[in-house]
Amino acid sequence: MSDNGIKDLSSLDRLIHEPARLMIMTILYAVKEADFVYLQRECGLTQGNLSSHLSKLEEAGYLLISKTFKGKYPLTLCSLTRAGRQAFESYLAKMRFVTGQPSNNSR
Amino acid sequence: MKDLSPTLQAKLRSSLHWSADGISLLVGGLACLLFGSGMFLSRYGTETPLRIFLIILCFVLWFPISLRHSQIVEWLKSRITYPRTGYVLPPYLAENKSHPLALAAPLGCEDAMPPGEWQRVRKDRNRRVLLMFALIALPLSAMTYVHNRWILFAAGIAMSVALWIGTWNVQRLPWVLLPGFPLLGLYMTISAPEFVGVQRFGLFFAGSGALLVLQGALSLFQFLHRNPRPFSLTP
Repeated sequence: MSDNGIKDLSSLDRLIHEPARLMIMTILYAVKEADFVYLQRECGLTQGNLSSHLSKLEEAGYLLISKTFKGKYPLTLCSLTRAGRQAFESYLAKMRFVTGQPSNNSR
Repeated sequence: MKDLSPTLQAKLRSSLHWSADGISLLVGGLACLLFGSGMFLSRYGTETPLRIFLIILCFVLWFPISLRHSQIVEWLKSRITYPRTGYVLPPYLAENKSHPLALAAPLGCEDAMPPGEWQRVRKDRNRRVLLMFALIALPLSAMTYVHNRWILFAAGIAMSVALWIGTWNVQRLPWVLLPGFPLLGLYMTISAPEFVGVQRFGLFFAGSGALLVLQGALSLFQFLHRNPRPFSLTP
C-alpha cells in the first residue's frame, strides 16, 4: 500500500467490486467448482444476468467455464483460475485495508 | 452461520448442499448395513453354504462402497437429483475424493476469512470431531467386551448425542436418527440380550446402517418433493 492510503481505493478491481460479480467470486473462491444452476440459486440472479457476469469474468481470465454433461443433462461448470484467485485475494486485502481490519498475513 | 464471513458461509453451504439430498447418507448407511451384517453372520449359527455366500456377498459389496463412497454418491446424484438444485463440489472432496476424515481436512479458503475466524472454526470443528469420535468409538468397542446388556442402550444414547453435536447449528437435525439410535439400543437390550462380542457389535452396526438408510431415503424423498426439475437448464 502507498503512503497515501486513500489513493489505493482507486486501484480496487472494478470487475470484482460489482456486487453480483463479488458474490460469484466469493462462492467460487470457497468451492472448487460449481455449476450454473447452483450459482443462480445462491446468488439469486436471473439466467441472463448471471450469464453476462460470468462472461465478463471469463473474458478477464478470472473464470474458467466448461460445458459438459452430467448423465443426460448439460452441465456448465465454473471455477476460478489462478489469476482469479489472486485477484480476489488482492481485492480482499485492499478492502481490509480500507475498513481498517488487520491483514491475514499478520496472524 | 450468520456471524461467519461470506467466504466461509459459501464453503459451509456447499458442504450442506452436497449432503442435502440424503444420497451420501443412504450410501454410507448401506455400507454400514453390509459391514454389520457380514460381521454378525460370520459369528452366528452353523456354517452353511448359503450363510458363507451371504457373508462373502456382504463384504464384497461393502468394500467398493466404502472405498468409492464419493464417486458412487456423485454418480447417483447425476442420475437422481441433478439438476434440481445445481452441482457444487466442496473443497475437501475436490482435493481428495476418498478422504476418510473429510471433516478434519483443511478448509481451503483461509486467506479470504477475517483474521482469527479460521482458528475459531478449526478449533470448533476439531473439538466436535474428537467428541463425536469418542462418543461413537468408545461405546461401540465397549459393547464387544462388556457383557452387561445395558451397554447397548448407552451406546445408542451416546451415538445420538454424537450426532446432535455434529449437526447442531450446522445442518438440519436428522429426526429419524436422533431417537432411532437409543430406540435401537433399547430394542437390542430387551429383545437380543443373548448376543455378545462381535455378534452384538455386528447387529448394532447393521441396525445403525439401516437407520442411516432410512434417514437418507426420507431426506431424498423430501428433497425430490421440494425441488422439482427445472424446465430450462442451459444459460
